[in-house]
Amino acid sequence: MNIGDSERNGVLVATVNAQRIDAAVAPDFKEALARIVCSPGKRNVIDLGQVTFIDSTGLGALVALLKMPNGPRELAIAGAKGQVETLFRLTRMNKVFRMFGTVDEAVTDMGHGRGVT
Amino acid sequence: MSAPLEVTFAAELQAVAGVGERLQALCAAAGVGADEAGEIELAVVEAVNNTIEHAYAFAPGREIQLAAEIHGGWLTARISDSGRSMPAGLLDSVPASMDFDPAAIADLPEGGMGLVLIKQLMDRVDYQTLEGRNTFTLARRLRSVAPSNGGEGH
Repeated sequence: MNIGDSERNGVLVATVNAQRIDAAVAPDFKEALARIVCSPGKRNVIDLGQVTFIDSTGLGALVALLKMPNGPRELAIAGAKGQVETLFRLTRMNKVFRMFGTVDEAVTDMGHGRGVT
Repeated sequence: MSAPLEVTFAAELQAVAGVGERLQALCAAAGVGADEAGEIELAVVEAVNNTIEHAYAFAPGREIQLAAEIHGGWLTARISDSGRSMPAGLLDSVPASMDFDPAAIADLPEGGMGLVLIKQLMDRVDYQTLEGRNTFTLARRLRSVAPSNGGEGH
């Protein structure tokens, strides 16, 4: 799975370049993300802005990342909308991950100099 | 008004996306909104995933049938298989929502969400086994389609 990564304001941004995250791709999804977000001490945001469909298996992969022993210190979700946002809300995983409307909002909140405009 | 969907497909995870597309087409033809169509697809995909994983235990060469229709403001989807039946009483025992402590990271659920989601997303669910064939029926009163537009009426 194609996942882009960049660093902005001290925050690692993983961009999911896929529209559908389901059980067929969830193992690849988890493995590809783990390579990016499991750098110790980093703050991470996963950009789901291109994703139009995710099932509970895809969501489970995100939860698994949090639980990894060398997992990220902070893991936020940006750009969840429509069905994707609904899945986080119905499962209450929106209480587990910090949810941001856009990557910009996440980076502003989580990055260096947070609170400074 | 839209023609009912009837599709038989291989019980493998790689086939599920195509089934989702067919379901989306059914919803679009009936004027169901994109967000609601996504929620319907989620419920059906969770049921199909469960069938592949639990009824067939990922065995190759098995098939699943999906029949779906939109009629009188309701979406009805029937997922059927000839594998191992869901344990009696399981569907009734499913909680209304996922129950966990969001702060207890090590104990967060990574699975076991499918049936909870199905019951949250659907207004009626029913599971029957008849002559070795399991049928999981999911029905939802459509929010984004008026009854007069959501089917051919009575």
